[in-house]
Amino acid sequence: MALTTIQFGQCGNQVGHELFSTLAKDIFNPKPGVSSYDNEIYVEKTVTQWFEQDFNMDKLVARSVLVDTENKVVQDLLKKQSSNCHWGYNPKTCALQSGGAGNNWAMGYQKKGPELLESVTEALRIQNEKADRLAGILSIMSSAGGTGSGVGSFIMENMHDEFSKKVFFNALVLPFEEGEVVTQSYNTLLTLAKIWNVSDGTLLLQNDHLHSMLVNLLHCKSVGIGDLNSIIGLKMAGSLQPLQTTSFSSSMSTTDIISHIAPHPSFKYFSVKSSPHTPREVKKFEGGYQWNILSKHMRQMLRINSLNPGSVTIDWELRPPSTAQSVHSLHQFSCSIANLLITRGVGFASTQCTPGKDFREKPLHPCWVPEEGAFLHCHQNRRFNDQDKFAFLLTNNSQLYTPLNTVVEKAWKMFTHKAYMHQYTRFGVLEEEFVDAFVKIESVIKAYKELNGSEVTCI
Amino acid sequence: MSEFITVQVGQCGNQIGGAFWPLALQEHGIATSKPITQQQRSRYNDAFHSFFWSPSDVTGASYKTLHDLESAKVKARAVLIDMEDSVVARFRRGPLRKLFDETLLLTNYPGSGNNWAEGHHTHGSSYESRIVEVIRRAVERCDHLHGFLLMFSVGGGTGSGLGTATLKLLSDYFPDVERFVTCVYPSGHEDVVTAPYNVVLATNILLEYATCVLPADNKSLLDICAYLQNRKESNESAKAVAASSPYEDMNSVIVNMLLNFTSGSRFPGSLNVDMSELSTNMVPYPKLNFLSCGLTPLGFSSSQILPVPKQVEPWARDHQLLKIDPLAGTLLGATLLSRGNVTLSDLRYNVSRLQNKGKFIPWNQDAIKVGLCSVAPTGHPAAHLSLLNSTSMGGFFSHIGGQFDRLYRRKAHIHHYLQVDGFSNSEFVLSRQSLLDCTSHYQHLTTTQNAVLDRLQVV
Repeated sequence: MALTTIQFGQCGNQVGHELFSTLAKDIFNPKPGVSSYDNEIYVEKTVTQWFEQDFNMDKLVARSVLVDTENKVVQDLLKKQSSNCHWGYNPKTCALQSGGAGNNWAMGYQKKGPELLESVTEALRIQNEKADRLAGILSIMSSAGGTGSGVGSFIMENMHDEFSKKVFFNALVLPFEEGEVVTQSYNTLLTLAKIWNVSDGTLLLQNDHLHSMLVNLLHCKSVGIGDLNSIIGLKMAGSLQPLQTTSFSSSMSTTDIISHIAPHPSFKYFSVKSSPHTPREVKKFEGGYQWNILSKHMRQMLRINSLNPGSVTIDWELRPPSTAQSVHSLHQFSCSIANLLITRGVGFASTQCTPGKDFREKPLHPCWVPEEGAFLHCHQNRRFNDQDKFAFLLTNNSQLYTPLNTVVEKAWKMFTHKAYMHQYTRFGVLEEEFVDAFVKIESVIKAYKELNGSEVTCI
Repeated sequence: MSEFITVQVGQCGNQIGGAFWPLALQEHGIATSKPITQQQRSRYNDAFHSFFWSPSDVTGASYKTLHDLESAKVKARAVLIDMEDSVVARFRRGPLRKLFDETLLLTNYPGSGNNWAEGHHTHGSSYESRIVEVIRRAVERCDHLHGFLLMFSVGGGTGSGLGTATLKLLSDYFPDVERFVTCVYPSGHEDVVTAPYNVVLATNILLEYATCVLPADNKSLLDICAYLQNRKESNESAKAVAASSPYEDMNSVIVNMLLNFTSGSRFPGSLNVDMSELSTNMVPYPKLNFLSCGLTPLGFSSSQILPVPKQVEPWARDHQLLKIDPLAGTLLGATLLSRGNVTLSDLRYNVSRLQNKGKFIPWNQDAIKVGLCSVAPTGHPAAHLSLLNSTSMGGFFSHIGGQFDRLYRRKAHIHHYLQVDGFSNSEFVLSRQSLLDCTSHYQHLTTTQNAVLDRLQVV
């Protein structure tokens, strides 16, 4: 099944490029660790999902539409790919303008979006016609600026009706809390509110968190934007690459994954945790972790502070897995709507690891979630990212409200002082629209917040 | 790539322009005086079209000398307006004479007699159609016009009066194009008696019609030059530079600021900043559009290359182009633009330092916009520019207001203004009032408390 990607704005395009590079690297993995027959099936599945084969050029062409209001980034990407022999973009599926959207959601949504709509529709048509069977549409964008957030929301709204039968999901990069753009809280708020109606599932990526992962785990001394993007690419590829049916797990398609992880109309967000991330120089020497340690470690990541359920004492994703942790039954875990553990690598079948047992424990889920819906484990024997073992946890849990809460808190402060409002009303986004967005996101936050505790309050 | 049109009005404006073009050419590896080494030659020729226009569709790659430019009929995107012929005439004779299009020059003999009213009303109305025509001709040569860069002084008659009249025309005829004004304020010791009137009358128009104003004053520029001179003298290698005239040095400080300011729009980078984003980020309320700019390093393109430390303070008081201390007031917004060899971690480090030093407005504690451009300025490995919207600007307004009051109380010289057709006494009163309003708005913001309204409750 094919998946068409739409990359919006500077961030979306850079992340998208990183995602496709990761996928291409995965396809041409010299040491897959599986039989050549299995490898062939895997590669074929990957290629149909993400790429279209260009036999003339002997190149893979990404099933992607590139949208930006400032052509610099995309021009750069197109230039870069001429030196890249494995894959590339189709220059016909770019919808570009110049001038940018001014970090202003209203400008992107009201002005640039409508201007770009026709060329995006056309590019999307080209891309979709090339696919034999279309599974869905993935949009990648950041919420801070004007293009990803404003144009992205507008295009997604307009595409939604046309593709209502397909899976329609997106990856949203949330800005650094310390600030990249002054109006980022407004832009994020409005984006979240618009996308909520049309998206089947939203993967939230927090720049702050990714930055600390790079510093703590990979010991990066100086972090570039490219480093952040490559982690995002890794997480996305790791969650969406083909899975296989084994004695202990079943295969899932991208459509299945989204419907599993976002099963309820009030809970559509999810995040991806991944482990182990080790610095390149260490990788050579380390034998790697046992599967059951990795599995336990992934569960640790759901732990929260038992005194203050809103906060996390230790972010376990920022620590390497260790053998010494004792998983005490008294620890409190954040309440999850759904979890999906994806393990990629060798030798899982021969271990005694049964992640299902840990993850299906009752207090981990609200009582209305059926046991088989609460947790699934999927596996792929093929080595990923040149590591023997790699685990990903897709989780839709109560913790997700914290970044949203920060955004609303900041946006509300600014809104009550009417700061920057003239920039938005200039493009016809009035106060009512802000109030609507606040109402919507506040209720989402409330729903997520009240999850903790809902495992008890069952009638 | 984005394009800019510079509009140079009056003696001062054209002198800044005189310093601007050689340095702009230098960024593209074209020497105007001394030969440039191969290594300094710029590789970023897509950006050449930002400031220059060529009738034939050749990329900048082929231009290496002034002679190349002449034979390719390359013209600067510059509109030169003056009511005296002297400075523009110097352009006509200078080495860059072929760079300016005769049809984009507008001159006359009478001058404006240091009288704002004469520049604004007399010349403003009689030259209106010609100014519009000239600007339209420049605009028609652009594909992606991002903004106008206006340069003039506000102390005299022509720049101050006609410059602001031009600004008004731009906002009437090209409302969608950003208007950035760099204006030079007198330091109070000049020979122009009527300067305080001109300053206040011009400032009122700037508040109303400019997207953003980047003010500089002669006192600060002189101090910066003196500082640079001292440093040079201690350094024996740079004797030759001392020969240049003081005004040229002062102007090149402003020019360096402008080149840094526009670098994010012109060149590629991992965090692009388009000019349209600036006003969204920096102007929370209408009329609070005066930004204090600071530079590191202060130096102009000398032969001596200084290492840029990781820890920079472009926001420090003695790095400001205007004699105010922005950090003494409350910050409404800040922008940090870094170009050259700067990593994201360096940038975040500087952001957090600024956050600790500055006092931000309570409703937007992290009002910092950042930009990273990968192209370094000529002669330096890196440069940083900070733009701060600080309530200290209110102090500056009350200072120039006070000087206005001293003259106006005695009704000194006002008959020169009143005898001009179209000028009435109410303009004095209204302009002064608008300054007072601004000051009190800043005052009010300094004392703002945090949000009093609670967040929306979901029931």
